[in-house]
Amino acid sequence: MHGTKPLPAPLWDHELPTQTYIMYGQTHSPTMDAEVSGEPDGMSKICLSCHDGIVALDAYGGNTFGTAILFDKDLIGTVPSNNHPISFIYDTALAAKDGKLYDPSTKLSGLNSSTGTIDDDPSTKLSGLNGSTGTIDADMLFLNRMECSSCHDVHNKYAVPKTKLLVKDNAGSALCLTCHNK
Amino acid sequence: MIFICMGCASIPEKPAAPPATLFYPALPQRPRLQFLHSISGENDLGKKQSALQEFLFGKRYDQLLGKPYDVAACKGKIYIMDRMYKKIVIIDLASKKMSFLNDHGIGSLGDPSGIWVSEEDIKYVADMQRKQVVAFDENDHFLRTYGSREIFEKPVDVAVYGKRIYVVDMDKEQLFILDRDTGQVIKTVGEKGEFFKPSHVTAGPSGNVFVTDAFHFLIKKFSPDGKLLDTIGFHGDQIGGFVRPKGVAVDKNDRLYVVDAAFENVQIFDDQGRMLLFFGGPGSGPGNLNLPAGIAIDDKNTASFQKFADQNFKLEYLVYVTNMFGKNMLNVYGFGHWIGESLPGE
Repeated sequence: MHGTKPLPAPLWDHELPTQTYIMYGQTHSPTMDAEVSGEPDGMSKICLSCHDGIVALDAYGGNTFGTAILFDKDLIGTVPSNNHPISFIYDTALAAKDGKLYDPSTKLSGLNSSTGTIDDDPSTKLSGLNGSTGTIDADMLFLNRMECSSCHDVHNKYAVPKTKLLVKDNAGSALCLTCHNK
Repeated sequence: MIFICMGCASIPEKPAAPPATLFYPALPQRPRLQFLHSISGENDLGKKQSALQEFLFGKRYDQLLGKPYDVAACKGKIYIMDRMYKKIVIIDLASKKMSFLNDHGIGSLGDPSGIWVSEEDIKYVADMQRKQVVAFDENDHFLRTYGSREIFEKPVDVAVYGKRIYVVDMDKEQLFILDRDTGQVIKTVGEKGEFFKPSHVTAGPSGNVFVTDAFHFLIKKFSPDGKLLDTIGFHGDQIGGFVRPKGVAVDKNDRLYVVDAAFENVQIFDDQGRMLLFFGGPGSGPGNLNLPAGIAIDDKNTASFQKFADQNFKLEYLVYVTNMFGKNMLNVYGFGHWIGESLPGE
């Protein structure tokens, strides 16, 4: 719309160092920022900026705490709703502390089936790439963090039949039980 | 238990460091806005609990906002549309209390999204489940509804100016103009393809109407009777562009404020569509935004927040921005005027 002409600086701020904005806090690259914020970080913000419950389906299913306005402040951020938390570090230490989670550095994700390829091209097989051991850590986490795309296959890389954008079939809660040891 | 309590009591409260003044733009440029305060719970409203109360009843629970999406205000009150509770949270600035608007019976809210509050404290709420706009009076009692399933598909936001009610329907991709008294649809704006998921609407002081055309990544400006006058912005991450535009608000001088959830900032444009300033930005520090959504401008409650303002900064109006995530749920900024010593280069 504005072609290649440089845009004028904001009229009220002439000392602006940049002409472009940071998007999603610029932490969406898994090579950047390992800060533990306990809040959705860049790669999940990409999802949540549309999935706000109005523009697109709420990422947290639209369930609520009911009518209680009192709840533990510690839950803010890490559990934005009563659904699954995201953007937290899931590692051996967390698994040990929790006691009901598998160790993501050793437990296999199970994402490397023959369906885990694009158009049956074996080179697109995800698990096992980059020396991956096929663990949860390697296949599903991003800098050890659980994010939206840990479970949601938004680009349909795995092409699992009947899964509605999940990285694996959740029949019998198989996706849940990948990490949860109950 | 007693020992623990005594132990706690003996720890002196950490003295609060004087907050650094956060201006946009920063001094020595002429500051236009100052970040003032964040409200996430009742404790942020400043009500002090006496030592005796605390001894007798324990530390008061904080009333917390859940997932604020939209915001509106009238004298003495801020209203938050909270998507976690799917209710309106009333922030009473005088009593320093938070409570739910008690929607019930025929006035029960189903899936509310946008809220508009008139100067008479009439609350208008767009409800996606009811496919209606539900109005509550100044005493928070159910007043009436506007529209029906035959008219609306997904009404997501509402604005009111004079006798007209403006409703954006995200699925029908249209702007509806209704008569405030009769409830009749006066006009429908938006041929097929004209809007692409319109998500927010606001009305300016001269009655012009601004609609966030979310996936056209711009704001459309209409005359009060729905004639397209202008578009503001373009798709992109450059200054003045939009990636996830959301809430819009207009001040008395026809300056347009637009929230963007991707940049996590708010951009201000003048009435010619020229970019004036942006503020907020990603992060968890003071003034930063975290997946922001709603915005409102309020010139009725500046006195309640003047204590947060720099002594050389005279507030003209407040700007509220909701964050859907993070520890700072409602950010309060003040638009104002530098009254301190003269600034360099001016």
